[in-house]
Amino acid sequence: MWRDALLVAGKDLRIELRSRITINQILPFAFIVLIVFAFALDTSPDTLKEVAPGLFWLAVLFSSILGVDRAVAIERNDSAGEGLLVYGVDPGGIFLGKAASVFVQLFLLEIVLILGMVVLYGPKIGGWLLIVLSAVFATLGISAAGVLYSQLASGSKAKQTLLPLLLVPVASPVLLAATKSWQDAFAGTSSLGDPWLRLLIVFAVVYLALGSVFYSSILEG
Amino acid sequence: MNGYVEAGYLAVLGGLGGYSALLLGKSKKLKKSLLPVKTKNDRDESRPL
Amino acid sequence: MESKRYKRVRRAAGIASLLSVAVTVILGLWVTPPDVVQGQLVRLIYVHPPVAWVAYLAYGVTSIASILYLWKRTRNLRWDLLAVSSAEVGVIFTGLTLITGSIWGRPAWGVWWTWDARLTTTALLFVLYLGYLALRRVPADSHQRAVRSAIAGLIAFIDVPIVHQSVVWWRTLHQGATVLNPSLSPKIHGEMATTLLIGFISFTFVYIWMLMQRYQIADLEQRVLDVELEQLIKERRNEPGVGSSQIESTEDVDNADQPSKV
Repeated sequence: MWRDALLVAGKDLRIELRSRITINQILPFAFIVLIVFAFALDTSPDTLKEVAPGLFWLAVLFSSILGVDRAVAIERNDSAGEGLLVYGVDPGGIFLGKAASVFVQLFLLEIVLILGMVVLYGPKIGGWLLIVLSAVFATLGISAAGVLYSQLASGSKAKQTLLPLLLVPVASPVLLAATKSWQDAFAGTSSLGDPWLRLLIVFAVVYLALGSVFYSSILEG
Repeated sequence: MNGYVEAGYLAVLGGLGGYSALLLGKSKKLKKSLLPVKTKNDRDESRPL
Repeated sequence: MESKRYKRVRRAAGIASLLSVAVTVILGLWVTPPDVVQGQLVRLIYVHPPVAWVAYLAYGVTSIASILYLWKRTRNLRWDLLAVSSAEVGVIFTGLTLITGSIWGRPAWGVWWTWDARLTTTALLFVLYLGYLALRRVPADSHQRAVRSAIAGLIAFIDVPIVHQSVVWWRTLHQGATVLNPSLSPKIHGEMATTLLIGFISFTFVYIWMLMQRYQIADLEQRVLDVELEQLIKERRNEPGVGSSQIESTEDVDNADQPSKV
């Protein structure tokens, strides 16, 4: 399963390297979200500083919808997904691989986006360890839940509208927890015993486990 | 009483009543659509209905 | 067609819910006394918590039915029909929970909506199961749809405690819980407690009746689909120059969709 996961992740990332959809389309989209939030909040510097973590994670969540949609969509071309199953690739491995690939892409996007956030909103950043750890687990959770739901909704014509409706409420605890733990980190009250970090870890583990178990039923059923 | 209490009871009764009416109407319509299935093309009568 | 016993139970549940809801309303609106603290507003307690309880009950039933479908030894399309029926009734009751909560909140707290943990969780629950119902409308063959929605239903249910915990922390880590002020909560005793109990029972009856009615509709819908398919196959058969092999394959699909006998 783990070997299959690595294979699938490598394949998906290679596809991304060649098509550059994340870099050319999703990343600019995330930036424009950051910019229009500033329009909506009327650029009062103090407000922006205060809500910066929330806006950042909202931008990530929106971008993730595009990312997971694409991760599942590439298997639909020429029934590539069925091909993988016929080759005997473990379905749980496919899930973990896809989640890993989305994770890598989202994480890189976050690194660029955090620079954008600093420049545009100017919050004071501290507590790097907590920031990085929460980002890792939040992104894992979003990727796992996202790939799972994207596969559930796949095959429907209404997928583009269905996926956000399914994913956003499920991922809302991640949005909340990641925002709060970053606020704690920015405020300098960071400790690794932060309850929000624990919640993020629980969410990531639960959804990675659910996906590995159920992915085969979704693919075959 | 004070308006709010009545509104609350009305909302619950109206909501549940509306949904019940919807359910009853739907099942009536479905039952009707199942009745006249024996048309000119019907050759086997073995299908239980 | 539905069995006589099913029909009888459903009718009994219908009559029981009509009568008991009437009793709840009469007791709640006129017989019970107003509360010392909340005044007339306390009358909402006879409908709001029972409606919320039914919503959770309905989602519990959906999850159990989903598990029973996913478990291969108990797999049967009936569980799928039960899951969707219960989820739909649950969404109705969740909507009513939000509405009555809001109506209660306005005079009690001065706002229609407050970011209280329970309110926020309920709102997210409402959207979660709306998504579940939307996913069910995606056209697919009945087994595929059943598997997918069973998984979605289960994920939604597992998400509920996580959502709740996060929202509770969100509200309590940064400011004290203002809503659950103990002096505001009414002291329940005597005929109020009885009325509340009758409220719980009566809305549970309503749930049972609605569930049975909705389940029957889901079952009938399956039958209509089958009959329509049968009709199409017959028309095909009567067309000149249609090979029988083609018909075999369509019939396989038909068999896979056999409705469950109630």
